[in-house]
Amino acid sequence: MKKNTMLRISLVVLVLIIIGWGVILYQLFAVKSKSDYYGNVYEKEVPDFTLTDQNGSKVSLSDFRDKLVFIFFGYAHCPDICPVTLSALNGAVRQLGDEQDEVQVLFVTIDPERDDQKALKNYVPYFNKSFIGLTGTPEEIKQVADSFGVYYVKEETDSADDYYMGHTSSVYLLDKDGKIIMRYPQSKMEPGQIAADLKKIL
Amino acid sequence: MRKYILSILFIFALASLSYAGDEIEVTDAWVREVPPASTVTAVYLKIENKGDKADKLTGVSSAIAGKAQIHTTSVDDKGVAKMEMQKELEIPAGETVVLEPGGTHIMLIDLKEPVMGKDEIELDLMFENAGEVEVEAHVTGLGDDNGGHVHQ
Repeated sequence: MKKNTMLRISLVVLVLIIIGWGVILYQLFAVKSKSDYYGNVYEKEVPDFTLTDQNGSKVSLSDFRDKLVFIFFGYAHCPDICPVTLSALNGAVRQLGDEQDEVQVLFVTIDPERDDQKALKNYVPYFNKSFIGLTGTPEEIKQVADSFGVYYVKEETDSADDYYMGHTSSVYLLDKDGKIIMRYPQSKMEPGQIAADLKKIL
Repeated sequence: MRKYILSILFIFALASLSYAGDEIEVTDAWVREVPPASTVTAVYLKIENKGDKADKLTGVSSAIAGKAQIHTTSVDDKGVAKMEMQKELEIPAGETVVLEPGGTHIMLIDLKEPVMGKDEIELDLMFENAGEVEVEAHVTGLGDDNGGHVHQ
């Protein structure tokens, strides 16, 4: 009888301990997953790279060490996702006022075959004159894309000179040390909200 | 007598044709302004099928483009965006199909003249039942000169 009571008490205590730990773990987890940012917090180191901009100059990621950098991988023949994204980034940057000089947008083509310097010059500054379009050899582009974990593939169509690119459509935000800190998927392209994130970080 | 019957039939046929045309209504058509040297752009619009029979958008043409195709952009769970050509687009009876950024659009390929600087462009939409529907799409800029305006 006494043994039985002891067993019951231990069982109750054990259950209480388990519940207690559950609450603690839940709170820890809930606090961790609750982000103060609109973008998805995503931290990743990326190696420096050098590509060619729309004016033919060599540009390295490390040139922007005192700025926040947005990097978006796309292509100039893209009629839908890319204009929407570049336009959203312009909207976000414009809302920063004087602080917009502290943010740099880089558009890296994943279609270097068609996007030479001239094609980028025609395309990228249309969205914002400060935006930089970057191209390079297919190998150079591949290396940069790989380091960001960006995937792209050529999709042939019925006519030989026409093709589309399937590509990772997230925008990456890098801090002033050149480290990825945030990722914006296509579902998070609201300029005001992106601008709010930038103001918090700056 | 036969002549009369024929002409009455003809009038009926005409009437039903124009009636069919009224069942499809296209509204809010806009085309994305792109830099002058760009060779592609996208058109977005709403297609309402007021009839009680499903219809299909089977083709699009525009004088300013070498080709016009129906495309759907999809983003998979890894964030990879792809475009897929659709041979036709189903417009269910009584429903409105919305073509909007990030979804389905009409892609104008091999632009013969720049969209920039125009107020609107003309398109012909071909429907299986409703036949040809002419549409005017307003040119809407997304560039910085438009203050980064995003079409709502």
